Amino acid sequence: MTLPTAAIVGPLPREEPTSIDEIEAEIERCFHVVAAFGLPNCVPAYARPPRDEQVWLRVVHEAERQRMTGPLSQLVASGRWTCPSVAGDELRGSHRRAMALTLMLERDLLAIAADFDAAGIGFRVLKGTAIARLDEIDPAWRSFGDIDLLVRGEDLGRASTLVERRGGRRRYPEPRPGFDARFSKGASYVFDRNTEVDLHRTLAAGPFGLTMDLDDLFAHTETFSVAGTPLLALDRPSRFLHACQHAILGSPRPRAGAIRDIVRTAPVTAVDCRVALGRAGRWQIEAVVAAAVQTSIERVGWAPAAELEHWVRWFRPSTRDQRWLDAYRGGHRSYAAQMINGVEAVPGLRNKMAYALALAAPAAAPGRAPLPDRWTRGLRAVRRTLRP
Amino acid sequence: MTRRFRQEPAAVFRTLTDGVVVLSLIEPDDEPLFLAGPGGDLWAALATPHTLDELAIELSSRYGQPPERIAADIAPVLEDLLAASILVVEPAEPAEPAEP
Repeated sequence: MTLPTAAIVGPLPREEPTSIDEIEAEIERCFHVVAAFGLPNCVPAYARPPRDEQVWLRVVHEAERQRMTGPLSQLVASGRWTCPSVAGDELRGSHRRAMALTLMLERDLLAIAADFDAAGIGFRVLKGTAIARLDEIDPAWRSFGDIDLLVRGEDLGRASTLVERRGGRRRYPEPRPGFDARFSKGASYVFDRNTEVDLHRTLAAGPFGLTMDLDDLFAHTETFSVAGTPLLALDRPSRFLHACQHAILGSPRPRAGAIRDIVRTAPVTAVDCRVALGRAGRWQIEAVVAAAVQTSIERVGWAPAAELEHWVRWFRPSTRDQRWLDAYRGGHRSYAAQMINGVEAVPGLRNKMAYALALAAPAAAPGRAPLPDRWTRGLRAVRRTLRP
Repeated sequence: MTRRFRQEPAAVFRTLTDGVVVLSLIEPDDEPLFLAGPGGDLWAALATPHTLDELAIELSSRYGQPPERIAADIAPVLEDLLAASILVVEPAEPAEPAEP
């Protein structure tokens, strides 16, 4: 694969930044180049390499924090940015540790996959190792810090038992018995060596996860292998849609790695675009996809396929979708608001009431918000049930 | 009998710009190993079965050293990688049947 020339830098003169804000802005510009490196059809806004060792070290630390040591290592190895030796040593050590973690997670994945197979639990591998092995130039470009598996709602309980048997401790308790299988995004399990396994019932918390067609997710798959063991991932259109959801709904500001996943999995041909957008329409996540594509264009100078670019240019989210999106993004991000908006996405009054009841009166559990807070939140959900 | 070495199929690895990180899946508590520089080239060559002599010849052109010197250098490394369960020795190929 031909690497882009977008990140090539020239020996232009420049002024020294005089404020911390300017240095922070320089680091961010540098990081956009790192995020775009190796991606097809990406021309990020011009950015020179970090000016000195201190800024270099900040960029390396940011790459470690955002799991981007792979692209930064490759950018340095390409010779386009010359890295001071101290920062280079730091980067190499950081990337080795990141890759060692991915290997240990792949070992854990194979063990859990064997458990699930033995128990007859169907699953799909999401994000991390699937993207690394199916979509990146080489798996060493993609770091990840946990294992993400999609399981059917009815299998979530048995799958949880198997993960706990391997030492996983559930991070947040189930709101009420049966909530996981019907409404939740899934559950997270932490392990002693600070790794995590996430079992997903759907691909996002709140309304955009509740509108999805989960059978569709299981129906379209692609196989990859780890040490000769075949595993099922989502197919490429679904990986793209998931990458969009993760970028826009997973954090207030999309992370660089999430942007890379969007570009890596994006549809290329007109037919691919129609498949992906048709699925987005059925899952009612078009507003999320449009926001994700637009953000990627702005962040890494991506030129998507013509059909996708045209669609994004003319797409306008509904008032409802915009309101749903606002609960995930920027300073207005609110998990409570996502859950309350979820009432609108749950089909049928009876289901809405069950969902709202779980929010209004969740079972007591360690770490859960005090009852008055939960009650207030739940009442808002019930009102939304009655007056959507 | 001449031994032919190759990568352990039950191992996962990542090729970095300065070497290879490898983890054997045989033992559940093994830690990843880092094979720096030439170790990465050795690992890459072992994607297909090689004898010690074949490896030495293949790597000698890359490093500009005589095969005998390369063989002396990598022989103990191969034993270490075998002990770490990230290499295997290929079963011996059956002898050619004698002409009737």
